[in-house]
Amino acid sequence: MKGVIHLNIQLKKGALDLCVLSLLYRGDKYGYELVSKISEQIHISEGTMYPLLKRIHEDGLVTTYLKESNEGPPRKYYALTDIGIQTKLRLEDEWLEFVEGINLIVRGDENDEE
Amino acid sequence: MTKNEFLEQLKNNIQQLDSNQINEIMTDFKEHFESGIEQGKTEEEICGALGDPKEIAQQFGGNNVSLEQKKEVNVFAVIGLSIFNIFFMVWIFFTLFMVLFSLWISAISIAFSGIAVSLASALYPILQNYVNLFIHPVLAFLVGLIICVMGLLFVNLNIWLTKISVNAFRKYVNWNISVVKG
Repeated sequence: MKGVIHLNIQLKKGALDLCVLSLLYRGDKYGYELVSKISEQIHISEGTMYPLLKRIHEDGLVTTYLKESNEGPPRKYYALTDIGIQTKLRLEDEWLEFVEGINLIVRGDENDEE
Repeated sequence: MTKNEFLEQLKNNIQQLDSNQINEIMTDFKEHFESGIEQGKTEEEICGALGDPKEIAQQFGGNNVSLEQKKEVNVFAVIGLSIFNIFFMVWIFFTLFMVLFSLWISAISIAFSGIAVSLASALYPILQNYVNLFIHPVLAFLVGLIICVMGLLFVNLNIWLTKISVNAFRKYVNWNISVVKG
């Protein structure tokens, strides 16, 4: 079962990367916003999103800047870089292809056994 | 868990990162709490949703987590093991080593003795004024060969014994390491 568990972790990690990049693709966002939107749809420990954000920042997929907010101190906003945009599009293609493949096999359309 | 408890545990477990990174991470999480509180959530709710600060720290490359836990668990094992090693196992391995050493010397001596006897009997024509073989040279030559072969068999036995001993020692060392590491 160890191999299966490892696959799940890697899969989740790649999927979460895609989620973050996709959300940012549709507009810059601050940390809490990103984390909330994702945790609405996927069951995760919200805290583990921040190491992810740090990693994609270090990898050059996103940049950060401070923006004043209405209430209190300025917030840190994340924005996609050009590499980030390219990566998002590539991951999206890979993901859709992957999901399509899995669905075919799961539904049994690959070999018509009827 | 309160906000401060969470932040403290997080901070304690990312100490091996450089100070800029630590500050950045702490700012991010403080910001997260503020945003959450603005939305009307309690500190406990926010902590619950965030998850275990130690696990999060680990994902930032927080090695301190494992070190912390391991130190707590294994100090007694290390002390006990050291005492056991010093007072007992060192002597066991020392004795084993001395026994093996003696066996090797014996085996090599026997093998060489055999060679010496065969050589002496082969050179008998030249040496007969200096060496007394007590038996016929050809017989002596054969006896020498037999002794040499026995010596070599003895050597083979030693090789096997030495391999076993080295293996046992290695396993023991590895076991020690695993106990220390937990």
